Amino acid sequence: MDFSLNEEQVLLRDSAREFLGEEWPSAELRRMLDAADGAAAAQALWSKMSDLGWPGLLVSEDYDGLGLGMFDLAVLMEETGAALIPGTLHASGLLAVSALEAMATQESCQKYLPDIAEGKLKATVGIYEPGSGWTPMMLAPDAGEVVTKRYVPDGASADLILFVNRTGGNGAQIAIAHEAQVEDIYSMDVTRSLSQVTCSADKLEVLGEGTIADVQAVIDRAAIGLSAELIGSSARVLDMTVEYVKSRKQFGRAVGTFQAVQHKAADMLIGIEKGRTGVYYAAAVADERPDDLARAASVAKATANQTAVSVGELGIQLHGGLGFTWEQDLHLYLKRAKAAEFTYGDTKWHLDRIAHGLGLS
Amino acid sequence: MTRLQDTPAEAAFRDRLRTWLEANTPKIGKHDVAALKAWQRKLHEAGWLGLTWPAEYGGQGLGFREQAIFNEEAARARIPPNINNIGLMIAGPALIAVGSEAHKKRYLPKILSAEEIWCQGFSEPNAGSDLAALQTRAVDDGDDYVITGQKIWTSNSLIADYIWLLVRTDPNAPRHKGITALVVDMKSPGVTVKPLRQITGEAEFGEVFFDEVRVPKANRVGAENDGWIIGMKTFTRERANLSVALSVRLQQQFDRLLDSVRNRDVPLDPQQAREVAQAYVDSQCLTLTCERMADRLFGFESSVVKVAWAEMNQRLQRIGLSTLGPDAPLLSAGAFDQVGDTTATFGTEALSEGDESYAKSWQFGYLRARANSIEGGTSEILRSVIAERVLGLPRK
Repeated sequence: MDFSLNEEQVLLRDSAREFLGEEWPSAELRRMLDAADGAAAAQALWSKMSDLGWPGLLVSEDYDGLGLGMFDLAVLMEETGAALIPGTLHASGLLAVSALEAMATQESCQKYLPDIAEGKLKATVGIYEPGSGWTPMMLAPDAGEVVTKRYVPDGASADLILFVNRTGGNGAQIAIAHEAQVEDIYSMDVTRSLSQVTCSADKLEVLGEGTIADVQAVIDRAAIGLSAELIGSSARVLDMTVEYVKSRKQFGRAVGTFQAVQHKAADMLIGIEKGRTGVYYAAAVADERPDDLARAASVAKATANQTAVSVGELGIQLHGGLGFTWEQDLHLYLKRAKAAEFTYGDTKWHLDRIAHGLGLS
Repeated sequence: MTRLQDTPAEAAFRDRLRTWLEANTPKIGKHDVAALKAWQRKLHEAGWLGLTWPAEYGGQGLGFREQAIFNEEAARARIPPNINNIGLMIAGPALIAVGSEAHKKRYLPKILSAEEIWCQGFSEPNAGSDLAALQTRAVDDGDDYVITGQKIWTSNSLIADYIWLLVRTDPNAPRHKGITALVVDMKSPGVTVKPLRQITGEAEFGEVFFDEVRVPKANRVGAENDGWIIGMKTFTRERANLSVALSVRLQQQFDRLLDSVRNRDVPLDPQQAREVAQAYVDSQCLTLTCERMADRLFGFESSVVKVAWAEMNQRLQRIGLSTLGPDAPLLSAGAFDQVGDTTATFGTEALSEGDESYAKSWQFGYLRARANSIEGGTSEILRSVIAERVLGLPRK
């Protein structure tokens, strides 16, 4: 095993941290959330990220992308998670790219991936349906006249909405949803927009076929990316908390000198180190040993869920009353963690999948 | 670049090791001192011990990767415990870091070959977490120190040839500045050892009493009154090495849990299955964290792994016990008698066939694991270490 970052990855991490520090500070995030021109803030960030090539990081060089792997993306997404960027990079650069590369024909990939890589085309993917839970085998095998997809990330601002459907048995397809009805649904995580998208079956343009296993692999890659974001955001919460308890004084001393406070901070770090290992491991498996992807993704997502929620809660606790205010950013991190916990499989779902794989159920 | 696969050199090392272990791993009961010494000597002679130690003292001069591969393969082959684990994991590395050339030449090769067994004398009845409160006195008397006092929780003291000892040489100095590190021959007149029976019924630890024991000044490690720093270096090495060894044990324990579950007549309920899956997730993450953080484990960050391991192993043992259902509290007849008459046991839960059934049981594991969050630094102390030394929180 080798989890050390190579020179390019260190550069990617450091430059991303610097870039996001300048381009997406808390004030900019707040502008997106509160200002009338909020969408413009997100769009401005997207353009600049596109200039850096991030939307095409995973896209193979055949389609004008950077041709990098999940490990590289995980390193980047720790930083984008720390900055709580909106969901476009995740939806387009990870979910849509993975779905197209897994299931679309070469011709379709050639048609769409270069524009996605360039950031000209913002794509997203609808997979889950009302009642399907997180299990692709639970998707309706024959969708009927109208197909409805729930929890579609960034559907409102996407230029290209893709549907991944079950076609009966283990079969699946990827299709463009033309003339789709996009309806906002509101998540606790206000930094990310979600939609419910409805499309007539006769407006679906099929781009390729695959299997339910392909669909699950796409979800697993997205889960690893989301886990990386969660570990990055957890690390940022810990940084904020350490700074705060060093300076906040009560009883004439910094509260960070109290053991009850210190030990909670230590637990935050322990969770983050374990979680980061899970993410790096799963990302390496995605790149090098895709047959083992399911279990590795579950290890990463289960751990990241637990770490991010617990770190988010402890961060608020250690900030005291200040942590409970709207003005402080901590609630945004906790809400991100809480919403992500129930995306691409909650902890229970992933533990059940591992238990099944180990022959325990 | 590949992250999950061995490099060709690593793969060759692993193959050679695996073949050797398959051909040579014996079945030894955990109380069979002579057989365990012979096994360690055999491992050493084949070149599998002291992998990261310098070659001039009998080591192999290799890197952490080889050590990690050894640990994985050792777990896989379920090799017997190292009888000289204190020498290999604590005293040896400490001597490499701070010992004189003469000490290194004299002691290290025999630590590796198990010709001399070591123990460590740090804790005292009134100096546990607050180690700097230690009171065992060393009085300057010409070429010797004369030592009087008591150590406690001394693993392997019942079979040890040498003790790696911290004593107070200057009672008037500030408490961190009057401590000295010594190597003491356990056969010296005035040394007595009493077994300390623990909640499992075993006595893997002892109490060591010093009654005017003469120790040549040549046995001092480092300068007089420099012992605190040396002790701290010993600790970081202890925790780093422990972390690595623990990850091996965790894999073994998890495999054992799976065996135990698969041998049940009744399937686990969904909640139990989930607990086992959670144990898989955590043991996997923790083992890999040891590898990921390998280059930082000689610092304070080893505490991160130690705390997580202690709680993980305690949970794992609880789960294991719970898989037994109504039989969970039942012991085989005479279980405590089997282990009561202990002359030597070891701080390890590694299992080999031929062990008593009790020592292999979940009851034993559950009870023994209570010590995990106490030994080698309590989890409370280590959380403070993480907060102050890793996160940089203020101390006062």
